[in-house]
Amino acid sequence: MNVELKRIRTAAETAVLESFLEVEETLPGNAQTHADRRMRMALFEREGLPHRRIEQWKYTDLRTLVREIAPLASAAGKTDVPAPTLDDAHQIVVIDGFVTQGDTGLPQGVTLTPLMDALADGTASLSGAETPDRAIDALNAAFVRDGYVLSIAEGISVETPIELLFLRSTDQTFSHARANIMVGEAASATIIERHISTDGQPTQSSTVSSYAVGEGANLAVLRVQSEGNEAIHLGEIALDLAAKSETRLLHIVAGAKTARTETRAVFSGEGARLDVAGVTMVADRQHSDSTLYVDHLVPHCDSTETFKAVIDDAAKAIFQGKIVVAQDAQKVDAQMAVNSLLLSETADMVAKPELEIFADDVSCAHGATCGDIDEDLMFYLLARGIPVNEARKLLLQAFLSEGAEIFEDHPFEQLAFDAIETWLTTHAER
Amino acid sequence: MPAVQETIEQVREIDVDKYKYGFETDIDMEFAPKGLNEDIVRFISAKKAEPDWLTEWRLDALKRFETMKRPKWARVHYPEIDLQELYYYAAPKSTEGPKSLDEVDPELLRTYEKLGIPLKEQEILAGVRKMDEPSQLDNSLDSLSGKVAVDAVFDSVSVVTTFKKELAKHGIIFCSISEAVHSHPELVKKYLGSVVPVTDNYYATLNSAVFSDGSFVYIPEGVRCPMELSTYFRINAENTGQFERTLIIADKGSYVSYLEGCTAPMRDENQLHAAVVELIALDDAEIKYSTVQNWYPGDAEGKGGIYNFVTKRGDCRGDRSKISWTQVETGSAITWKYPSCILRGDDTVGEFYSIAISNGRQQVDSGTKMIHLGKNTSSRIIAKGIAAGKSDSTYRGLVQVARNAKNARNFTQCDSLLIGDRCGAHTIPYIESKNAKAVLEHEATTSKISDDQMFYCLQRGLNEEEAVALIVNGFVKDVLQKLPMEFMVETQKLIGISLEGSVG
Repeated sequence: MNVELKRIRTAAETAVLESFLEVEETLPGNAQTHADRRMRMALFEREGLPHRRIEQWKYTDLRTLVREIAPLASAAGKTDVPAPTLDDAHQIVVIDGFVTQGDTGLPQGVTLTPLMDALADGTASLSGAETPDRAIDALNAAFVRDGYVLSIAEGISVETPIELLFLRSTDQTFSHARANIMVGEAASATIIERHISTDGQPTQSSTVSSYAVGEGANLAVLRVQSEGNEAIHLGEIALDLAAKSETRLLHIVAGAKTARTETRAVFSGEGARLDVAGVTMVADRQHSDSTLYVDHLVPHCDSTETFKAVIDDAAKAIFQGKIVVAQDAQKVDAQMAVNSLLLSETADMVAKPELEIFADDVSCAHGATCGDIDEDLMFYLLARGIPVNEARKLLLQAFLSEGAEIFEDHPFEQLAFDAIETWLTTHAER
Repeated sequence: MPAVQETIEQVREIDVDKYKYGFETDIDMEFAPKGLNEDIVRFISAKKAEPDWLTEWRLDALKRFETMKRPKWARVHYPEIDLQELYYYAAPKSTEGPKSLDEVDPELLRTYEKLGIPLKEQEILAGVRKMDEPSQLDNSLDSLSGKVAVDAVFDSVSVVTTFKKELAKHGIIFCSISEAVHSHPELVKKYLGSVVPVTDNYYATLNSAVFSDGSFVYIPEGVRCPMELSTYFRINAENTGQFERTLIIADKGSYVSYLEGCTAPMRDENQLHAAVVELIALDDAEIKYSTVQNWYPGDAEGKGGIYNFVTKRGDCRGDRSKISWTQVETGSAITWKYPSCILRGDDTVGEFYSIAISNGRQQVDSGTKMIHLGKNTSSRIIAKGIAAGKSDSTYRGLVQVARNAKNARNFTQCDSLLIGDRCGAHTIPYIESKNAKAVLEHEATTSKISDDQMFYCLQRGLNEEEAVALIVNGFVKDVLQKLPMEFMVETQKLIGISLEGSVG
């Protein structure tokens, strides 16, 4: 088991290194940015793609899951831009890692700066931790060419929802995009993040969206990942939560062949609150990994984490959640729950809900369950004359909808219900 | 609440030195040369006059070990251990080979008496004057129940095994493993390494190469072992690694309850203990394995103490078999062990009950693995961790359900209690299911003793120490109840002692 393996560089790893050498000169940013990029790539050269011997990647071995690397995207390809999910939403569109629309007609108090400019003047940075588990962030930082900084001014309450669209064209490229969202002090915003590609297209992408939530600010985020059935999706959602801020994040996963999304939340000010929920619906041979880190660095913060997964066919769903409570972070309340339903004989589920606690005056708990649809519940519905397929759908719907509870009476609740309904319907029709 | 009262008294009595087993026995010892190499392995093997196959087995393990690297995934931190600076074999000179009690060095018997295990007295009380003489209990074997047969292991060798003859009447084999290699080679050859393979992990492989002694138990078909079997491990010599190997086989329809206790002298250096325990339960058999681990934990600053790196695994090989692990972990500077159950047969049951208490600068990374392979298998995990002082306590547990393990059922509960604000409690469960018909449940909590609980006790006239002892005893009650009677009272006291100085 502990026999030292000699690392052989895979074709995919070689391709990444070679393409970096090729494009490095042409990537935007000041001297520091370039140094950061090279530092990130040096780590990649040493460690390669994350594999199962790295604890945080135990269940998503990219070395075996990503055999080939698509060529780097050099410009936005052609694809249709879908209508916004909420009628009045302002769309900011990124295709293959390049911003194509959204910089005009922004709601009042909202500004958009191209990432290029922010990197040049040092307001955005690509530095990061030099550890092998931060592979998504590192890969993205090394290659990212375009993206934006979205700022919501202090005290502004943005009524219009803002939709951040990340589309992949049919170009079959490896694309990288980065969005920094700054929610000013006492500001509030509603943001929808959508990741879309078409079925049958082996696109690869990395997206890092990092949210800095200011003091007393209020943020609602709905992230919908509905990539095509051949896509590889690597995502990171970073959340920096200042004092007395309130943040809600719901992540719906319904697509991609291989997906790994890391949510990294850090409480940096006292009295903040975070509610994270996840709804994962996978079938066929999909592999979906939701990894969550919640760092309670300061006292008096609360967080809840609720994850629901339905796994059918030969799909595999992974949930890794880690709540860390630092030594001085007293009076923290953190509750994590992860529930999975396996619908077929060949489905796989992995849950690893971790608690790492160094403070004594806290209340932390986690629960995990895994099983099939409860036979008693089925029987109850069948006995009342509801056909088997419908009964099943009802129960799944009820199970998954619990994930949307953090958005009770918010327009996002209905959007989540719709996404669940759509998946269940198309899934039943196959 | 007599136990609680006793706890308080015991804590008071022990003034400066909390660890009451920290004495050293001055006895003539024989050592193998320091270092780890082929010669040492051959030396140990020759010392025990082992057959060629076993020598080869050890050498294979050594070869494999040399290609391995120290695992670093556990949440424990310690400096690299220089394996070449250790003695791999240390034995009291006076005891070469198992002997009757009367021939055992009186110094050794005194040691065990001091540890609360009066080997000789126990035998005399039971009417066994000498191993070779007929016992008065010959005709009334039933009265044996409630007694405990002990295999006493001192550093690298087993010095004596009690009640052997009586057990033999039931067909039960209970002896040191080096003796079993000679007397029952077919059993040893068949089962040794069949649960924990030679290449299992770094420390298990090291153990396979240099294991010196340990206990061997075989319970024949249909026999219910009339008494508790137990092994008492004692590390005495300096700079010595202890590598014992325990092998327990419960044949069809049999039952055995086995206890294990451990202590070591107080020293400034760290000592390595890397044991391997293999349990095999055939059809309808049941093994209950209880451990009270009280190795020297080091002083308050973390100096000295035992590194306890143990591989324990049970294999429910036969249908309807059951293996139950109960452990109380209070000692060791570092504990790194995961008593596991492989639920191979259909309808098998695995259980794990654990209390892990850490104080000072102790580090504990312990838990279990429940691997469901057969149909209708069930497992239950109750783990209670208590961290005080500047210690770190981690529960790490795996529940794995294989594709064919239809109707597997698991329930896991792990609770952590933090006493003081400089300690850490962590929970790392791994839940992997490949079967839709499996039902898995896991729950975990971390908290401190609440002010409400303390207030309730204090206003009823208990002082702070008593209140904490009462609440802690209540916290671990679920697990305490699973311990054999003999251990229960002892454990309650141990909990009090381990937590001394952590209150207020």
